[in-house]
Amino acid sequence: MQLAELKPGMSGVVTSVSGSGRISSRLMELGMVPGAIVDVLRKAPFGDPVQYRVRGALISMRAAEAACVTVSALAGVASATSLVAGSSLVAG
Amino acid sequence: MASPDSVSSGHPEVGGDPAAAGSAQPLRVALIGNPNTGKSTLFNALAGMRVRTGNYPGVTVEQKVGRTVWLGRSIELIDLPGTYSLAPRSPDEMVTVNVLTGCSGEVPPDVVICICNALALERNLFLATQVQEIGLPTILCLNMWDEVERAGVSIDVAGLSQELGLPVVTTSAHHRRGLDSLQSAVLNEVSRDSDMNRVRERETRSQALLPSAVWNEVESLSGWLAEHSAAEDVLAPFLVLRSLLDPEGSVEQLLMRRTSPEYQAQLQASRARLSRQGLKVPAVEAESRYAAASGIVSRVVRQSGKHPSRVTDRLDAVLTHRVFGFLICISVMLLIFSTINWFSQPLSGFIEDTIGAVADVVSGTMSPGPLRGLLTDGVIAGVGSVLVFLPQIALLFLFIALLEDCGYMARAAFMMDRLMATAGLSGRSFLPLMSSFACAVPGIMATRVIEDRRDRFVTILIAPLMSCSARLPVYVLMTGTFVPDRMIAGFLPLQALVLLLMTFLGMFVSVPVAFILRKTFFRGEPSTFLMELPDYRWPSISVVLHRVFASSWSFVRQAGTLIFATSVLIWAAGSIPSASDENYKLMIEIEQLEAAESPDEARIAELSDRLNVRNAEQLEQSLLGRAGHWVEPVVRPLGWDWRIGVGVVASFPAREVVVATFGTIFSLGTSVDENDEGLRGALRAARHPDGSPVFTVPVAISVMVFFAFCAQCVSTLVVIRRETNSWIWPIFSFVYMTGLAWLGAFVTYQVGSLL
Repeated sequence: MQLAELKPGMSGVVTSVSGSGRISSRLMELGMVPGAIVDVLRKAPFGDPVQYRVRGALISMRAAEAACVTVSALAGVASATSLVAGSSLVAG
Repeated sequence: MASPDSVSSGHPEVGGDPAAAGSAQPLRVALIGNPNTGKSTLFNALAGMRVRTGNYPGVTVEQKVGRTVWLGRSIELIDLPGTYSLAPRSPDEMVTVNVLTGCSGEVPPDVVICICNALALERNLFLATQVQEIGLPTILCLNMWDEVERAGVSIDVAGLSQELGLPVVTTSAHHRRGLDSLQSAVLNEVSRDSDMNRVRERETRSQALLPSAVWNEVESLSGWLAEHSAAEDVLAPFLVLRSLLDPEGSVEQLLMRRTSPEYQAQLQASRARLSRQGLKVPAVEAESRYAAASGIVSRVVRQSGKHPSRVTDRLDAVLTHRVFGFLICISVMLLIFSTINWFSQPLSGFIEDTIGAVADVVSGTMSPGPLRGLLTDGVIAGVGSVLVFLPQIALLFLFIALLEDCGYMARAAFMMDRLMATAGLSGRSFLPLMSSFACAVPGIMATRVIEDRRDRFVTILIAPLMSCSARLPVYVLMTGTFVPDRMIAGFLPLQALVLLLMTFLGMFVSVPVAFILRKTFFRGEPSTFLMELPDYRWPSISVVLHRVFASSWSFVRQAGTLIFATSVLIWAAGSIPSASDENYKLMIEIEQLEAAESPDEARIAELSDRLNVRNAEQLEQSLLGRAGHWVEPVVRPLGWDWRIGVGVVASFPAREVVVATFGTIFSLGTSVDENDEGLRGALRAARHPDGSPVFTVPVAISVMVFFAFCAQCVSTLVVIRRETNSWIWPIFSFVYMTGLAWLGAFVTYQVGSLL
C-alpha cells in the first residue's frame, strides 16, 4: 500500500521508493529506503502535508511526495520508535 | 601506524608548529553537516568575531568565512551550507562540492569537520560517509552531546571512531563545551596527515562501504576520462563516483563539459551494468549507506533504561494540533507583527526626528542656497531613507532567528503549506510574504529561509505586491479627500471599506501572478515540501544576535549605498535647474522675520504663499517636472495630468514621497502630510486649464490602484538585486509591476468613468 494511505497513529515498513527524480532521491537520502520503519504522526490543519518519523527524525511531506513510497503496514499503533537504534528492519 | 581513535577521548597532544602562527597560509577548515545539527552555533563559537559574509560567485548561497587563531595556528574557517547529501542538482547545491574538491579552481580545505546531530546519528552518517570518500582529512563532530546524555543514550565514541576510521570528537556548541578538543583534533589531524599509511587506510576504509562493483565502474570511467580529457588534470575518484551515482546531477554535467558529451553514454552503460547485478542507481547508494549506518549504530549506541518521552513529541501534540496548533500559529504571527509594529514605529520615528534635527542644525548654520538644499534635502534625507528601515529589519530578523533556532519556524511552514500551495508555493513562503505587509524590504530578505530556488524567486517577485506601510499615506490621502464619507448598508463606513480593499488588492493579484511566474519563468517540477522538522530546543543567543546584526549590516552596506544615491539623484532631478535667487531671497526674508522677537505673521504667510507658488513653478521647470510632462501622454488614459505624473516619477525612491510632491506641485510647500486639510483642499480645488477638476473619484481610485501595484520603491528593487545576485530580477520586477499598475489604473479609470 502507499505511505499516504496510512492513518495517523499507524506505522509501516518501507518496501520500495519509486521514481527517479529529485523527490525520490531526497526521500532516500533522508532514510526512506526499503526496510525503514515509518510512523505516521499527524496531519497539518488542512489535511496536507503529513508529519512522519523515520530513523528518529521528524519529516514532513505532501501527499504528492508520499505517493513515491510504498509500505506494508505494521500491526498496532505507532511504536515508540527508539531514538537512535533499531529503527529499521531488514526487509525479508 | 597511528591509531585513529586516539582523539576520541581526552585531550590529545596538540599538533601544529607554533612557529607557523600568523604565517601567510592559514589552515583552511571546512564545516559541513545536515541542517539542524547546530552548525551555525558551532561556527560562531569556533570562528569568534572576524566573520566575513557574502555570496558565492554566481549563486545566491551565503558564504561565511571566519578567521581566527587556534593554539597559535591561524585558521580560516569555512561554513558550508547545511545539506543532507553530496548529490548536487543545481548550481546552489554544487557550491559545497566545488569547495570540498577544489574543482572551482580554489584549493580544497586542509581539514573537514563533519558535524552530526548525535541524536540522529544513523541519518547523519549518510552524509558523513559521503564526505569521507572525498579523501580529505575528516573529523566527525558529535554535537548536542549534552542532549544525548540527558536522553539516557550512550554512544561508544571510541568504537564509532574505530568503525569509521575517523577521529570523533563530542561537543555541545550551545554551551561551548568540547571546542578545545575539536580544535586540538583538527591540528592533530593536519600534523599527522603526511603519514602515507593513514592516507591509504582512509581510502580503503571509505571504499569498503559501497559495493565493489560500483568502485570497479568508477575505475573504468576514470580510465575513459583520462583518455578523453583535454587537460592534464586527473579527476578525483570522488567526482567520478558522484557522476555515476547521481543521474542528471551537476557533477555529471561538469564532467561532460570538461571532457565530451559522450561521457553520458559511458555513464549510462556503467549504470546498466550495475543494474544487471541488482545494483540500481541511485537506490544502491542510499541502501548501502543506510545498511552500513544501521549496523554501526546498532553496535555503538545503547539506550539505557526505558525510552524517555520526548519533549518534542509532547510539544508537537499541541503546537501542530490541527485546531489548536493552527490557532497558536496565527496568534504567534499576529503577536510578532504587532510587536514589530509597536517597537519599530517609535524607533523609526526617533530616527526620522534625529535626521530632522540634524537637518535643522545644518539649516541653522547655513543661509538658504543650493548647497544647503543638497545637504538637507538630498544627503541628510537620503541617509534617513536608509536608516528608517533598520528597526523593522532588526526586529523581524530577531523573531525569525528565534523561531528558526527553536524549531518552530518549520512547524509554521508545515501548518501553512496547504494555503500557500494554492499559489504554487510552499509553507516556507508564508512568513516572508506576511512580513511584506509591513515592508517588502525585510520580507524579501526573509526569503532566505526558502530552500527551493524557484520558490524563493517567485516569493521575492510577488512580495512587493503585499500592501506595505508606505502605501498607507497614499490611500489615506486619496480616500479621505475623494471618497464620500458615508455608510454602506447603514453601518459600513465606505472610506474604511475602500482602505481595506486597497490593502488586500495586491495580495489577491499576487496569486495569479505567482501562478503565471511558475508556469513561465520558473517552470519545472512542482514545489515540494519534503522537510525535516527539527527537535525543539532553546534558541542560541549568539546565533540569534549574529543573524540580527548580519542582516542589518548587510542591508546598510550593500543596499544602503544605492538607496542613498537614488534619493540624492531624485532630489537633484527636482532641483535642477536650480531655484532662482528670488526663491532664496524669499527664504532668507521669511527666516529673518521668523527669528524676530514679534514675528509679523501676516507678512510671513504672504511671503510663504509666494514662495510656495515659486517652488511649484521651479518644480515644473526642473528635470522632474519635465519628466512629468513627458509621461503625460502615457498617463492620460489613466485620467491623470502631468502633475500627478510628476508625483509618480518623484516617488520612485519611496511611495510616500508622492504626498510631499503633491504638496509642492499644488503650491503648499513640502511639509504636508496625508491628513493635512490644506493639501486636501488644494487637491479638491485643482483644475485643468479648461476648468474641470483634476481629481474625480475614478481618478483618485486609479491613483490608489496604481500605487497598490507599482514598484515605486528603490529600496525594494535594490534588495531584490542583492538577494537574487542579479540586476535582471529588479528590472523584471519594475517592468512587470509598472505594467500591472498602469493596466490596473487604466481599467479602474475607464470603468469608473462609465459608471
